[in-house]
Amino acid sequence: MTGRRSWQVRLPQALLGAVLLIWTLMPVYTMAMLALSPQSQVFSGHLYPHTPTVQNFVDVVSQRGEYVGAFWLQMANSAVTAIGTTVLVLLVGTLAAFGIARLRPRWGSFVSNAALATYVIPLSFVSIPLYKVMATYGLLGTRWSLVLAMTAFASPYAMWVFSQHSETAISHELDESARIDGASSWQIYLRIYLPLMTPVLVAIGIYAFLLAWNEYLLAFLLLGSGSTTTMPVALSDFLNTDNPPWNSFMAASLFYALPPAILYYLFRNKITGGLTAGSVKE
Amino acid sequence: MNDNESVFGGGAGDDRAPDGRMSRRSLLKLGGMALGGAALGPTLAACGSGGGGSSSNKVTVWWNSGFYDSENQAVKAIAEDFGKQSGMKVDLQFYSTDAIPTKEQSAITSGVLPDVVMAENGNTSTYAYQGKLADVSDVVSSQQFTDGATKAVHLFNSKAGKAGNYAVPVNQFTVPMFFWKDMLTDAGSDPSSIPDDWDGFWQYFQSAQGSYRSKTGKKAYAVGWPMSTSAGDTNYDTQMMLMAFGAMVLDDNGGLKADDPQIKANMAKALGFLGDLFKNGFTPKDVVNWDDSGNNTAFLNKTIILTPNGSLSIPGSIKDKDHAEWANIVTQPFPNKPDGSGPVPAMAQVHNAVVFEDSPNKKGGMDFLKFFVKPENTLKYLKAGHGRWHPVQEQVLSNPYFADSDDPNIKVSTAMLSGATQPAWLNASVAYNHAALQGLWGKAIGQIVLQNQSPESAADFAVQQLKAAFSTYPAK
Amino acid sequence: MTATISAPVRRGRPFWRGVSMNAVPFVVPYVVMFLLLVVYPVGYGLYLGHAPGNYRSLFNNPTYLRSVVNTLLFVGIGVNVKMFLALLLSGFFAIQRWWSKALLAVFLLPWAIPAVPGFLSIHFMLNGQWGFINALLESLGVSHPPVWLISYGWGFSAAVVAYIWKWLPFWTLILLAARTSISSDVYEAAAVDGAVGVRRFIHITFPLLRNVYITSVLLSTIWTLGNYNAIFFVTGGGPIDSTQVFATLGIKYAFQVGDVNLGVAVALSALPVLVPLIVLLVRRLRSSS
Repeated sequence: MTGRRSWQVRLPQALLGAVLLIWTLMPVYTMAMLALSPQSQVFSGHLYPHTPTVQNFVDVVSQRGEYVGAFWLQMANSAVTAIGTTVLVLLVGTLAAFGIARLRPRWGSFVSNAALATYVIPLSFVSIPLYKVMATYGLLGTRWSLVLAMTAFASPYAMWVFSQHSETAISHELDESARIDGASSWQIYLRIYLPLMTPVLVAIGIYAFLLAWNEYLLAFLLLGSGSTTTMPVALSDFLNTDNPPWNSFMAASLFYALPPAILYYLFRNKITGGLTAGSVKE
Repeated sequence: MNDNESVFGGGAGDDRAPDGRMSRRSLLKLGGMALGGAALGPTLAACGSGGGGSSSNKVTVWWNSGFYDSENQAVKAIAEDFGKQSGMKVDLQFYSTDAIPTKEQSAITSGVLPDVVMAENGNTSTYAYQGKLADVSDVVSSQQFTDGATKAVHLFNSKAGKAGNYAVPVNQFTVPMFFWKDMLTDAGSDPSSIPDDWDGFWQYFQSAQGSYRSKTGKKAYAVGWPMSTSAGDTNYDTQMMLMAFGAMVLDDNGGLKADDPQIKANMAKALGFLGDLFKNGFTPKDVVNWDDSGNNTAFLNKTIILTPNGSLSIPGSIKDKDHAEWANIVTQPFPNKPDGSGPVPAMAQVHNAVVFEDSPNKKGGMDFLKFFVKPENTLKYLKAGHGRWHPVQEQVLSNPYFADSDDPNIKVSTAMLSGATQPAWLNASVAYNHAALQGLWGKAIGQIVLQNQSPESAADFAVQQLKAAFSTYPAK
Repeated sequence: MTATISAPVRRGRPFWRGVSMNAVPFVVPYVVMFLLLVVYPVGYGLYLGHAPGNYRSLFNNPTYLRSVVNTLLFVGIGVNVKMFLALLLSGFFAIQRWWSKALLAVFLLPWAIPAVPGFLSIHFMLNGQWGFINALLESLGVSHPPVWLISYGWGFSAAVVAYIWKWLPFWTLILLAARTSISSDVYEAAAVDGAVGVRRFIHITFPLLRNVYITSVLLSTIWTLGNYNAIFFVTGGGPIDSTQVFATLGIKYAFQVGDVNLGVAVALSALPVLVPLIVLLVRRLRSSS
């Protein structure tokens, strides 16, 4: 009886698993296949690389070739802007969320409403005006322009998650008793709030990092060419040629995909836990 | 869920009315915040350092990145020479063909401008029309440019109410045909006996497609003809096709002639011809989605035998890398017009560089361009591009590199551009330019090949779009 | 939410009121950023797109009207199919076995892969001449597989599928986390009452997930309204501009055609849909109960 039942359950599960694998991996396979193909076979329409080569990866790492000449600089630019965004989002976000949700000023809900409305404005809709204001502030072409823009649009989500988490994870009595012991707001923020927020800090940190690491449109508009170009913009330039080097494009892309993948696999549990903090509690 | 769980710990000091709508006090605060933002922004800007850099000792140049690295190296070398000679610092930035129009537009919108922009697909005639460009007559008169090039930079400024020299011609190109000799040989055809009459020419390549496929077993197409709304190629190639059928959409002064019934009928014939190429399977279906590199890629990978292409970038791209393959590529003019009235005129599209009316260092920008268009510098730049672009200065045209080239491809473009030419309509009229960039021809052809409409109705559509554009941008 | 202005004293309230000014330095960095980088640009955007002539010309423009339909279809189909699949898959992945954990790790790859190469890979895969999909179909004996990206239907569907491919993992994770936070006591109690399988899902699981599900749908809807990458890199808006959505058409008009005001007008024309959604969402997030 149990044997039949487990067969009835297992088979559909296995089928679904297989479908999911194919669904997920087809584009990834195309990336890998192109990255392993010599230029002469990129457009051959083969199902697998007939003469696979790791030359493309070697070229990318050693920066040989016209399009990968500044590969490490572009990776570093991406890293700097992503890390800058992460730090600022965590700083600005925890400060504001602490101020509003823990200190509860009368105007707090107004700020949080305004912030939430920002959170949902699609970035592409404000890209043109953002270009204009960055020019006005004299930040155009600098990394700050991208970092600040990403921070402004990532912070509301961060504040929302922080507030939700703190309401369930840190009791107000804890704040109260610390205050009775003579602790200032800053001390409560540093000694009680931040340490207890660690799991969501990691989750939001990764969220902000990925957001900035992946951003194409604003990076393209706000950063100049050359010394500040980030990877997504550099990658889109690969295809501006007679015979686009899809193979080295994909090889570079796979390197570019590594940091986010590693981050996820290191912190997966914290991400899932943090991002849904308190959202289904009844 | 109780209050403690609500987001942002609302409750205390809640500004919301009980029904959840914003109270008047909230609205007042919102207004205050908006005003605060509006006031703070410019204040901060005044304190900022200013990104453009207004020093007269620096020239900011945005240059269209070349297809070959050597081209960019040549521009860099010229900029360095200019810097040494003038004592100015040149901030030279390269952007790709697709990116630079966006950067240019952003710069104009925001008012933070470079001093020079050279964008192959820039909207120069529109910016001239809007009065955004500086008069560069000084640079234009410093060299003897060809008549066509001089005319192409003489643009209407609606603010000034008259035309002037608002751009500097940098290079020009036309649209030859390219085909693979070895693919024809593989198909059992003789590449040296291609007919030059219209029907014979197309018949030749269409039958080569069939025999190539049956002899090699490879799926290749006779022609790769760009038909998409996103490729600049579509605009150049369609103009050539329209001219072949005598559909001269613009008159010599850039006025619209498309409403003439004869021209409209010819337009329908030309569009119908392209539609048949597609429907009869002589061009890959992907052509309706190609971007600018689409036909180059398909050709270089030998999935098409013949393709029209602006400039000599196709043979140029492999000249150094693979000389044997390079020698397999043949460049040649279009076949004679279908009505038998002689050759199709060559479209001459001019690329230009501009200085903005509000550029921080207008004089520096013009000095840079004056230096750049000196024959010895231009020649260096064009040679680094393997001659894929053609010169616009009489003195460079007569240089043996172009006038007496041993490169068979350059020979053809020299011959085409020294014969009967027509200005690129994109250069000739701001209204036409605007309509074309919105994808006029890609849409007209698409209606035939994807939506099964008649060539006549596609021509009607095109004429109607053109008329609308000419009513938005009257005058030139 | 029970608090009203007429109820000044609540648990702990006098204490908080006393320290209200303390909050100012904490919130100032965000507020300054908000004014400089949100209020000012958004105001400037409204100013750029304020001329009514732009909207008149848009409403006479078939490409724009097509993009309205496309945006609605993209959001309507893309978001709902994605969220529904995410709901189902979160149940599948809730089977915490070694193989489902391994599968989940693989399944999350699209989320980790940056959008630009991910979508371009799908674009390449669908090419009629050298794409992997058609090579595969031909090797399986399909003699004339469709040239995907030249048809409106296939091209648009491809962009929607690519979008789902990219974002399904993220939302599956969110719903999975929500599911796993449902206490096992609830299920045990339900099992005692005979609620298992589909009945358990309808009567126990979904009611508990409904809140997070609806909030996720709203959020995802608003984000997807501004989606640029999936269309731009998969179909490029083609063929013949038939798959453009607001974000791609706005950017095209602003930069390629060189008419910034028109481009901004395209983006702003989404406001009548966007603003009610934002209000709805903000109210929901604030009083999520």
